[in-house]
Formats: sequence, structure tokens, C-alpha cells
Amino acid sequence: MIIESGSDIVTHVIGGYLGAGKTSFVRSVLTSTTVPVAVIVNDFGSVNIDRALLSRVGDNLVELTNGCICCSVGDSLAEAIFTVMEHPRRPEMLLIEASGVADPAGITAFTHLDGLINGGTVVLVDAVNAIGTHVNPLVTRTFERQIRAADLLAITKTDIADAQVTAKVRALLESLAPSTPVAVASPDALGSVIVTSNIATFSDVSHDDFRSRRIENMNFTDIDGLKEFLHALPSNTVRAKGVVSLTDGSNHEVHLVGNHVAVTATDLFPTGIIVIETPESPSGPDGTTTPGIE
Amino acid sequence: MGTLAECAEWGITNIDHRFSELVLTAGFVEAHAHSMAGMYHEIPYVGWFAREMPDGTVVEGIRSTDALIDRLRSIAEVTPEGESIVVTGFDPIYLDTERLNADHLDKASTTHPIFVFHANGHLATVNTATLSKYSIGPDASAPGVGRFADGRLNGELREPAAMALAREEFRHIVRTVSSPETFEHFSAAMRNVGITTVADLGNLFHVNERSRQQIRDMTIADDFPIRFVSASRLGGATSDVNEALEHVLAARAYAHDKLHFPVVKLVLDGSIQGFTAMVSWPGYFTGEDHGLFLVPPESVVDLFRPFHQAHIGIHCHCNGDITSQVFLDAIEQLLSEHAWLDHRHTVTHAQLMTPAQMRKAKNLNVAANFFVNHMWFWGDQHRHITVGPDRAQHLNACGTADRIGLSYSIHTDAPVTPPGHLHTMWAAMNRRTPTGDVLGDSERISVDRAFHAVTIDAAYQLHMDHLVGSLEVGKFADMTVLEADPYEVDPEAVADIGVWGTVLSGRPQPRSGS
Repeated sequence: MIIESGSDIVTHVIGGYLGAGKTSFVRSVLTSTTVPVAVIVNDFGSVNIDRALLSRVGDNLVELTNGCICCSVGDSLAEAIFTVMEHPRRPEMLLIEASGVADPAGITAFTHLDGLINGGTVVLVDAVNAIGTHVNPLVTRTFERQIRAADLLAITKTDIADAQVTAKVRALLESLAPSTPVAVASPDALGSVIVTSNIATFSDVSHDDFRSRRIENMNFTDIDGLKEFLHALPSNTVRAKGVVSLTDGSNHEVHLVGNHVAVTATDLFPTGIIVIETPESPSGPDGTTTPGIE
Repeated sequence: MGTLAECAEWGITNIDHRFSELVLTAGFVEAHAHSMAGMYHEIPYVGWFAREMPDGTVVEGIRSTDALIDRLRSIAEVTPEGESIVVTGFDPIYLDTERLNADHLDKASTTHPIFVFHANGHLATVNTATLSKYSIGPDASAPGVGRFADGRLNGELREPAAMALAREEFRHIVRTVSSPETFEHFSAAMRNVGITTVADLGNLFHVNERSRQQIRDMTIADDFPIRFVSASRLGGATSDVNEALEHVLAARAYAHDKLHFPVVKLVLDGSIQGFTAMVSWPGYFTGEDHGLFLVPPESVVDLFRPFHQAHIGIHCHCNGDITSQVFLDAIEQLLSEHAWLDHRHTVTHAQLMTPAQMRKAKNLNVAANFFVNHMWFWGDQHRHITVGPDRAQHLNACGTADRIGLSYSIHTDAPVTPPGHLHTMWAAMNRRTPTGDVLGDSERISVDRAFHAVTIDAAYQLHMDHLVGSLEVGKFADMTVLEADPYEVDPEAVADIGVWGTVLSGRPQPRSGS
């Protein structure tokens, strides 16, 4: 059986090297989300939440007026996760911000804890500094580990980077992780794409960086078929979400981030699937656009 | 201070003879330990080396899997059925018996969940009762859940994400290491081995008012037995350093005679025996290089700047030589921006620091704190596995530091190695390994250098040499009370000297059980 409990918290890990925009991403999510989200950050100070938004401030946890909670890692990530899971305001979604040198895979491993479900790992890459970071021998390995841990890669800060440099960064990512989708987006836009859970507003995502479409009238007999379909979506797919009814009448919530697909049983009504894509045309059936050069 | 005759000139006639058969020295100063060293009151110790517990009793080392099973069985006999048994410090690196697995632990108990936390901190081995409790079955998909060759679960849970699957047992450890009881046992354990001032290097007592008040309350009682140096840990992000500085400055308002906030701590890399230290060419002797920076190296200067400018000392964990260099380069940059010459910033662990780095450190007024206990606890592994025969000779190069004139201390990093400066002195003076090797004859130091390293030179790098570290008029009357004089005994016997206890601010504090 693949069905997981419907109350599992969909968990995303946000990684990326120093300066890639993780903090902007987290801040954007916390201040613009329409559903209660929990965020685990390395420290509150960096997130710098507007005081007007704070409703309760504890030692390691703050509650926001919009229903979100934000928890700092402190001494133990596991403890922070348990704190979130046991909090009376049980969130619909959990984001864990990895530190600038962390291997996101080590953090994604925590999503196997009872009560969580892995929703996919997003790694942000700073267009301006990525090449320099990669050639710095002190951190080459760290950078490459981060890229390879991603289900979805996002190049940020392209507004202040030379177009040629951005192209080089994209080529670098495609050589390091040939089958991982790459989006170009601001951390803010990406935040709304990853977190938006309200299916009604989901289709309103109208950033220049993304386009969206809705898929309805699907006819799957089982979860494996549904998963197969999701995995076969075009290679420029960044995000997909929705509630799908199988032919046996059971309803399932669908979460796709880049290469990662999660399906959980739910009591929610079917909505179809909203698919968010990058504007460029999808690549060939094997999903690769550039041959690996490792 | 002085001879009996000199004291009499001050009109002192009330002579206290209680220590006439013992040796009084300046109180030992430990500049790098951790308060979690008091955890064994709650989580039994099952390591390879015998270790003294905070209550003064000695737990014999576990030298085989069978010995571990016996120990667990005896714990199970006094543990109500169904309750968990969590033990720590298991160190299979010296065991030549079969690798510990769930089948072994099932022999100790099938009705108590058992969780054996390994000394390296990266691994736990659990029994079948634990696997069943959390429904961890053959189809478990979590990374780090270990298996036998036939696919059956072997009871290994690798790295925190997998260890946390055994939720209650893992949390028991996380909570115990920071509990007030652990802190109390830590302070007793330090007094028992003759430490009068100890730095808990890298804690979070500074971060909010509640924890600042808590540490003040825990340390202010008259009978609190040590002078506690609370060294605040810096996190990973650069954007919050100014707030971190505010927290440290706010914490200083809670200081008193037995509570000090002189320095902050940053961890820059991993460990040599874990292959996670940043080691330069030719890298590790055997094994795969997993070297990693724990903060981005280019952010180090920005992380340190506010503290340097606020004249707060920085102790930086650098096991590898690459990290030592990054730290020294950062300090050089900060000094060119802001000329605080008396900063005493310190490379702590400093195990692979090169002679060139030591000369640069000396010129920059940087101090070192060597993890010289490694020569005993992992010396053979360093010689044969991690760094090889040549570099193992110069690990924790106290002799070279002396020739260069670099100020240094030596430390235990308790609970990583047992607390106690007679052992660190012995390790620095003899550099002997468990198999009898002497690693780096030329790096051995004299008893006089070793004694200074554990007293005044440790106080110096904590910016506390005007208060502790030597017996001088105007400083605290902190003394270590020994049963023999380290300057008189055979250098090989320094570690075996008995400790009566300490004197703190003139108040005698016998060790537990005496």
C-alpha cells in the first residue's frame, strides 16, 4: 500500500548556498500564504518578520497573526520538527530552511518521520555567485551536493545577473543534475508557487516566470497510475497540486515539486490538478536538455 | 601570599593545617568542555575506556559486545518492563568482535526498547523491541536504517534523521543533555577532577531573558562548585550577527563572580576521526574525505566582525588545517579594519595547525587550544587510519608551538574525552597511545609548560587571567588540591595523581564520595 495518512504534514526542504535567496523565500511564504504554514529556520533574526504580524513570541517559536508558525532549529532539528508536529495549530505544510552549507538530503531524510510526508526539495541557486562558489575549492563539494539533492532547482537573482552568466549557471546545473527541472524565478514568485495550497487561487499564479494550466477529467484506477502520469508530465513542470478522485471513489491529494511526487489520501473534494510550468518548451522524452559532462 | 614568616608579618596568626599533607596549585582552567558532560547520571555510559561518573564512582570500560549485553541486562533487571533503556558513549572502534546489531541487543532484553547511542554521535543501535515500538519494518524507506546482507533490519539508525525515528529514546538524549540536573552533575564532575574554572564552549544561554536568568540562578548559589564560563555559540547565518551580539551583551548583565561571558564560539568544520575535518593535500590517509565547512567560509569575516569590534573574544573550532587558515585569514582582515590588538582570538582543537600557521597566529596575537587528549584516545587511529604516520607525529603540536612562542592551552572537550587536566598534561607530556607508541617525540612538552597550559594560559585565552589561572594577590583564591606534586612525580605518572578536590574563592570543596 502506498496510501499515507491524510493528516501527514507535507514537508518541503529549501536549500541553497549562502545568498541564494532562501530567507527571502521563507519571508515571502510567511507573509503571503493563505493557509497555515510552519517554517523551521536556522534563526529568527534573519527572517526579520514584521512585528505587526507576530501574535505570540516564545523562546524557539513564534506564532503569526495569519496562522503560521515559525520555529528555530536551536540545538536539534528533530526537536524543532517535533515541536511543530505537536503544536496545537497543526500546519498544513512545513518548510524547513537548510543552512547555506547544509546538504539538503540530510534534512529531507527527516521527512520519513511518522506524521510527515516528503513534498520535495527545492534548491535555490544565486545566478550572480554560483559560478564563483562552484570554483572555490573550499566549497565545491558542498555546492555540488546541494545541486544533486534538489527535486527542483531555481536560479534566482537573474534580474541583476548578466544573461550570459545566467546561461552558464543553467548549463552548470544541467551538467551536475541532468534530470532535475530548472526554473528561473525570484524567491517571492517561487514561494507563492510552492506554497499556494488554496486551489482556487492556485490558478491565479501569474508571474512572468511561470504559466499554469488545469488538468481535469482524469480516469485513474489506482495510485500507481496516477503517479506514473505525474512523473510523465513535461520536463518544464515546476509544481503540480490538486485533489484527484480514483475510479474506486477514493480521493487523493497530489503534490509535485520538480522530480518529486507525493500522493496522500484525503477527505477533500476533487479539484483536478493545477500544473505550473516554466515558459520554455519542454525538452525531449528523456527529460534531458544538455548531455551530462561529468 | 608567601612563606609562613612573610604571612606572619601581615599579622596572620590563624593557620589552617587541613591541606598540610596535600599539594595546592593554582586552580585548573578548562577552556573547552561542554555542560552535557553531566548527562551520565541519566544516560548510563558504556564506552571503551573506564570513566569516572559525577558521583565519583568509576564505570569500567566495555571491552566486548558480550560485556555490553551483560551491562544492558543488569540495567534491564532494575528497569520496569516496557520502559526504554538508553545508554551512551558506545565506542566500537577498538572492538574486534562482530559489529553490534539488534540480535545482540535482543539477548539483553526483548521487553525493553534499547537504544545504544554511539560515541561518535552519528549512530545508534537499537533492539527489536525498539524497531517494533515504532513500526520500523523491512519496508522502511528512511535513509540511515541499516540492514543485514539478507535485507533484514540490523538495528542501526544512522544520522539524526534515522535516530529520531526512535522518537522518545532520541528525545530523551536531546532533553537530558540540556537539563538542569545534567548541569548540576557537570559542575560536580568538574570539581571532582580539580577544575575550578570551565568554559562551556558553545551554548545558547545568551539567546533570551529566560535562559539568561536560568543560568544565573543555577550558578549563583554559594555552594555552586565551579566558575562557569558561558561561551555563546554563533549560528550559521550572517544576517543575524548583530542580534547575536546584542544577545551576548545582554547576557553579560547577568554575570557574577561565578558566571562569565567573555568569548563566543563558532564551529567551522567536523572531526578528524569522522573524516569531516577540512584537511589539505594529501588529505586523509585512508577512508573517504567528507570534509565540510559548517558555515560558508566567505561569511566568516562578516560573522566575526561585530564581535571583534565589540571586543569580544572568538574561539573557533578548527580541526583541519584548511579551517585554521580560513580563521587566521579572517582575523588578519579584521585586525586591518579594527586594531583591537589584545583580542586573544583562539583556534580551538587546532589539531592539524601547521608551523607556518602557528607563526602567523603568533604574529596576529591569536592563541591555540590543542585537543591533545586525542594522542591517547585516537592516537593509534590517527597513525594508521586518518592522517598517517607523518602527520600523526605533529597532531596537536605543543612542542612546535613552544618553539614558535605561540600561547596555547590544552583541553578535553568533555564529554568527548573525560574531564580532567592531569590527563591532558600527561597526554601532552608523553604523547602515548593505547598500543604503547609515542607519537611525535619532539612535540612532547615539560611539566612546567603543561601546567601553564592548563592554568594561566587557559585563563588568558578566556580573557580571565586577571581573575584566575594563577595564585596572585587580588585574584580569586581558586586552587586545585592534589595528592602529589606533578612537578615531582615521574612524567608517565602525572595522570595517576589523586585529586582531593578544589578550593573556590577560599572555600574548600572536596570531591564527591570523599
